[in-house]
Amino acid sequence: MIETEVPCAMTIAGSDSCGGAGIEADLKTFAALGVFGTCAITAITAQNTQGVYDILPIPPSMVKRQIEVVLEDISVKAAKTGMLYSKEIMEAVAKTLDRHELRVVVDPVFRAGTGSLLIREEDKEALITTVVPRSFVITPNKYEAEDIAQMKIRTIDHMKKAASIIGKLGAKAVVVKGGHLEGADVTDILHHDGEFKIFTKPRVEVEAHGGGCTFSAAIAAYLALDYGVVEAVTKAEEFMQNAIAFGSRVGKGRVPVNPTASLFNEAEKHRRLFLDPLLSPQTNMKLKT
Amino acid sequence: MKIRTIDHMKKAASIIGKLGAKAVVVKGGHLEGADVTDILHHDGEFKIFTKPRVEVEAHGGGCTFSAAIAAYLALDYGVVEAVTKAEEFMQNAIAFGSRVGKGRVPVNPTASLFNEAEKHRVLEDVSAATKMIEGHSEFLPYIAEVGTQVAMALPYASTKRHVAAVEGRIVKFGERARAVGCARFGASDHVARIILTVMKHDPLKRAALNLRYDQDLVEAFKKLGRVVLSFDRKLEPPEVKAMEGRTLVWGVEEAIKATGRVPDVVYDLGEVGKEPMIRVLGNSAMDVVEKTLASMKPRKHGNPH
Repeated sequence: MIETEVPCAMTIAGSDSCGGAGIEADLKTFAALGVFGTCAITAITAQNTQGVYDILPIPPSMVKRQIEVVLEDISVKAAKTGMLYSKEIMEAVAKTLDRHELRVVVDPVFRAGTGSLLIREEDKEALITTVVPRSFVITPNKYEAEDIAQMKIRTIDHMKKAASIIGKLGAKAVVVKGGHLEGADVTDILHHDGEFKIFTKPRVEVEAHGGGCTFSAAIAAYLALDYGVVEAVTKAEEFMQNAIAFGSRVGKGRVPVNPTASLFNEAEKHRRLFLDPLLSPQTNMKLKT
Repeated sequence: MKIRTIDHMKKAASIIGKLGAKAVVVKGGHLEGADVTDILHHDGEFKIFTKPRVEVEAHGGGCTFSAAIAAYLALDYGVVEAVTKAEEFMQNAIAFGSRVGKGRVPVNPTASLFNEAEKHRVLEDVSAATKMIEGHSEFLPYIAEVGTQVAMALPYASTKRHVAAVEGRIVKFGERARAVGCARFGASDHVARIILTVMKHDPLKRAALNLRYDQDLVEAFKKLGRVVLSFDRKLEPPEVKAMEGRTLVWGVEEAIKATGRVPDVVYDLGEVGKEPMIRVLGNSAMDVVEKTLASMKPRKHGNPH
């Protein structure tokens, strides 16, 4: 009788067969934050925590179809893009999104954490001309920001300058992630509405996999939950601390971030206080046998 | 072969087993009946799962069920245990599906986890609301003879075990209101039933409080623009009355049906042996207490502690 709404978000990204990044990480992040996740897959990767072994791009018309049929049926309140791979896919996504007034968080993915290229080298420019100007929020790391802003980044002032430049290219809000700069702390810079907000946090010593995907998905989820840009980015920054610190050590390479760490903490609180000996601890870890 | 009965399902399971599958679960959702029966055939034995049918056209049920079995296997459960736990997992996932599109309803694999994650918060909220009632002497004249209960449900609630309330209720103890016990899940019958009924119409209205009936208080709620509904126990059909614990569900449903609105306040004038009562509803236990205080005559804020 009372119409309630389930907040919905969409990820437009590649599939990571190891489950730690891409569409798989995005959907876990949406779910962990109470947001119903939908997706359009742009490419399938044969990937594990050590590298990307093969890429099969999805035809642009099929990417477009996935987005369209979902948006016709489901009221999606925010979206994110990840791996877009080719100029053709970028154009198809850009055109489709233009027809719907959708706030898009753009993770301008050039490379996987393992170093493999996730965009055709010759199509980097297309990302800057077709996708960057459509961003509601864009979340480049040091290298991506350098490529987009066409400058070297070594200091926080450089990060700020790059954020301003990317803002001028059309992105409404820019988060330059400073994880690849050196130092005991990590600093991210949010540039929005002519102002800077600085997030400084202790560095977590782990080679994470899927961090960029999870972060941009978390921002999209908080936007779908009706938070404003600054609040959404702030909450996503907090969310990432546990997700990175308690990553899942499942492979021989990098460590996939854990989007459910905070939710499992919440779920355990009651159980620990009202200890029921019949209940076994619920974590997504177990002793190796 | 054609499957029309549970015996047919068993036979099909045996045949599929002979084709080489180590364990077979034939799912009976597409057979007719008020219950749904699934059959597990494993190691020459049958295990039968019967559960009440959830009236929803689910999307992703089969995927989620088989994924849950695989997850429990990854967690080192044996086949029978993994299937049993996956069957349990599906009940909430289906019952609390996400109504996001114009067609079928995707199942919600996180319903149970979000319930767990909310438990701690819900208990804290009920405890805080209880302290408010104990600490504000405005409440004292309205503490019901049978005791006052303040309760709040988990987001995906289907039984009283999903509703936290004060053990033993809140009673008059000399010149103050005192909670008999602590907040605990499953501590309430009556108020829990009201919450579960109202949540069917507004899933966000998860909390309630009962108070002794007082006409002025009802008027004060109306004055603040609250949706105030009522029901008459005398109109309750005898067949409903005969069922234990159905009166409040019936009364609240009647009030909602008659007005097409979901109440902030629902009262009844009682009958022989039944105390007239007001119930205040809201999004959280604290919300309910604050709503109520806003309509009560201010008194000196006695703090008993």
